[in-house]
Amino acid sequence: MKIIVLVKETFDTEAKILLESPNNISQKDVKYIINPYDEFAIEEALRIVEKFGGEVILCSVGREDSQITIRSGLALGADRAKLIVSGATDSITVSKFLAQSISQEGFDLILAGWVAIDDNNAQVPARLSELLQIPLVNVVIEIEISEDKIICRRDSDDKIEIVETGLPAIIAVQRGINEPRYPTVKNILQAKKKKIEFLYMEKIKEKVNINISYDVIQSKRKGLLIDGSSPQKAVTILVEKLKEAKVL
Amino acid sequence: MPSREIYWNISGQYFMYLMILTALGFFAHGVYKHYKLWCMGKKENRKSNYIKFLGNILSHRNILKESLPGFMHLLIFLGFIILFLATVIIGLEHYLHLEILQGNFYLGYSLLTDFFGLAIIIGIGAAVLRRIVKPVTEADNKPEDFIILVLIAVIVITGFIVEGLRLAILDVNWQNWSPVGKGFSRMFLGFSESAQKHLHLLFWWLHVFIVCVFIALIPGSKLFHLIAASLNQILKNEQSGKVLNSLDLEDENAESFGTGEINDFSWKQLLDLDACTRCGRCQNNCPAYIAEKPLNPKELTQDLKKALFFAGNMSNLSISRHHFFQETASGIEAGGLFNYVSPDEIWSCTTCLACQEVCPIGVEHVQKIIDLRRYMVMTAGKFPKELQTTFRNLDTNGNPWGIGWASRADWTENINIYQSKEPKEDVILYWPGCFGSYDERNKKVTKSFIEILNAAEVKYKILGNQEKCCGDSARRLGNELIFQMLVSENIENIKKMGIKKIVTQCPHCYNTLKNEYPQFGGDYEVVHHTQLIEELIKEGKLSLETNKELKITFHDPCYLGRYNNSYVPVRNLLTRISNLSLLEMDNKMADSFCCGAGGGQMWIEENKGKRISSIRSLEVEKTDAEILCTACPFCLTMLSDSLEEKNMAVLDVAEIINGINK
Repeated sequence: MKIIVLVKETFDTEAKILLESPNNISQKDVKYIINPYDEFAIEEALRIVEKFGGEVILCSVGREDSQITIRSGLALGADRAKLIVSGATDSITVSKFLAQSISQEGFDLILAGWVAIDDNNAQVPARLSELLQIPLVNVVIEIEISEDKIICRRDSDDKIEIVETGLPAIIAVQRGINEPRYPTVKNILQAKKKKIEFLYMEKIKEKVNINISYDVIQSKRKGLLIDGSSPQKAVTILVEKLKEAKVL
Repeated sequence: MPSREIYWNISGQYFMYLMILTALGFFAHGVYKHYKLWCMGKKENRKSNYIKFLGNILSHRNILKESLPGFMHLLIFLGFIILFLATVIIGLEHYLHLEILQGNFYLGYSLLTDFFGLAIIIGIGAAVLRRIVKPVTEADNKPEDFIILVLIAVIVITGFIVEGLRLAILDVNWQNWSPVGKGFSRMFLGFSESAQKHLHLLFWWLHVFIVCVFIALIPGSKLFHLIAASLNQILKNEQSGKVLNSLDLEDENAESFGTGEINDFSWKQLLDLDACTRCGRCQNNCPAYIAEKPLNPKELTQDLKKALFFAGNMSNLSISRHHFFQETASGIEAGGLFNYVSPDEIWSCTTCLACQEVCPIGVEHVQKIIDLRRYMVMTAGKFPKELQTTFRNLDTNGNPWGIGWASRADWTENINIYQSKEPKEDVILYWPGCFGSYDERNKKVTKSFIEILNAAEVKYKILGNQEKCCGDSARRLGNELIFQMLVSENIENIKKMGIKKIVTQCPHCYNTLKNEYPQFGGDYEVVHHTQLIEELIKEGKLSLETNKELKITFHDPCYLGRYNNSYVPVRNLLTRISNLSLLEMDNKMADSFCCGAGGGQMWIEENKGKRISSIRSLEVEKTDAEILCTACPFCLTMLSDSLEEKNMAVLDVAEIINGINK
């Protein structure tokens, strides 16, 4: 089974977000990680391939340097990667890039995290399903796969839906589907030799004019920091404050 | 003139040589088999230290740390040495035709051998009694224990019977110089002379025969400790466990990292396993075992020894082949060490080194446990799942909590940091570490120490956000990859600063920077803050006058004490404080009891057995102290938690000194 996993490089969850003019997020001294939801997708792909055989290919749109982050995905056990080098961050362009390179590659299944932790857009899987004309099952927490079909359990607010679809399809996974493995040193060493293919796609048929600018929201709510060195005292203070605010 | 005829009443002594040669043949073959076992291990360079070994063995200083069994062993040991020398003297007299055993020398010789023969019997008696009286878990009795003891007793008793019979027949007038032999001779007084002579001959041959059995049995029983334990002490590396071996992680041909199979251990580590005599001192002192966690360092060593014997297709009195079949019959594939050792055991170790401190024969437990962890983490990818977060945090943000690396220096807000611009050589790098930088409780210690440095006008700098975790936890949790990554980043940043001397408040940072960074080219003079504060006090730069009466007990952190032998500076500085009484706990200094957080345990859920820190807290409460003083952020955190409900302040040394100096 040939599985494509969509991977996005994101800022580390603890990174300090600073703006540099004009309306740009500073990338200075920022640590990057693989979008944690995409790691669930990689893990799920690896488990499927371990069971049925096949190949796991990571596919990403990002800066040239994101190969370092992509390689940590290869260290988990993926076979190779395609990196579409582009500064595009809007989901319309990114989806088009991905659709183009994925349809050239061919696949049986596409796995992706349902959302990325940086922009929280959750758009690429849906757009890609439209562009590639394949079914999408979104926010999936369990997959059961057989040769030509796939049964997914998906989280839907107050109920669990069970969806069955044929292959090929795109599945966007949610936290809880698995616990991603930790790369062994042997895998990390092997990952250094794995192939990352760089793709440069400047020619897109329809031009998309999108400008994204960022701003910092000035919070009006006041925060309260309680000294946490003594948990017992901290809880007492917290309860008092909550009573004052008439929450309790 | 008093003397003794050699081979009196004995004929056919050539047959004796045949018996001895046979016994030596068995002995040599057995020793060779052990040697082949050790050869299965990987290469490792070791230095021999004969003088230290002789000092240790003659003084029995390690064995006597447990006084009763130690004294018992001393009696048997000295008895063996003296009786062996006595036999050598007989040999010299006989073969070199010397006349040594004459007159007063002979009388002294006779008295001494009788005395030490008796010492062995008393020692053996005490040993048997101890094995019967001791609780089952501690005595861990196996048939071989009694077989060996009885064998030794029979050798000495038959010796005395032979002597007694000789005295009974010859009736010499210096019998009082052989008091024990004389006592034995009483048993045979009523016998006819020919019966006495026959009995003498019988017991003489019996004595020789059992001695030969004894010699032949040495390699196949715990008696082999005569050789293995001696070698093990001669080859002991005093730094083992304190400074962990470095691994080459760039080796692309390596099939595995760490120890998963018995031959992944070094030959010395295999000798270590072979030398263990099951004395149980490590077990009695292991905080994990005492707190009823899955680890028992003695069982671990013995289980690995089983794996060694199985791999070498060898058996002995206590490890039978039958045992192996049971092991393999349980359905697990034989060979892999994790068929013998459970992961829970190796993840329970706090690396406190109490086991190695008390081991009389120098078994090096901790490096082995780390080697096994390395295999689990770096080759198998299986470890307690909470550690995955810790490893990722260390990887991306250089601290175990995963707080943004760019917030590391946030503690400096509202603190007057000196950041010296003086010539670099005189400037000390202050290394607050992860706890001192991020942890709310320990940031107070950092603040106190900064105030001390400022008050004493010390020139210092900090790395701020450039500082990363020293790597101690990662390394001791078996993640050498993250450790080496952190080390290389830190070394590079320290190099940029051009600094030669570092002060830390965390004994873990202290040990790692001081003892392990040199493996990677980071050579600095590293001091712990207790040592620096002691210096400042000696130089009169801090005031220790207070009207308050302070009752303090001090908890020795493992990584400061047992790891780096630093017990005195902190006591020096505490006792210099006016009106302070230092109330020591029972387990202090080298016997200090772990807080439970070392070896990365801080990051593993403590959900098995009792809490180690609670056991230590009971000891704290037994003193009349009002303040528990320590000098380690790990200990501070663990013991503060356990003593939360008690009327006891838990403080770092820096906080106490700064409080007084203000």
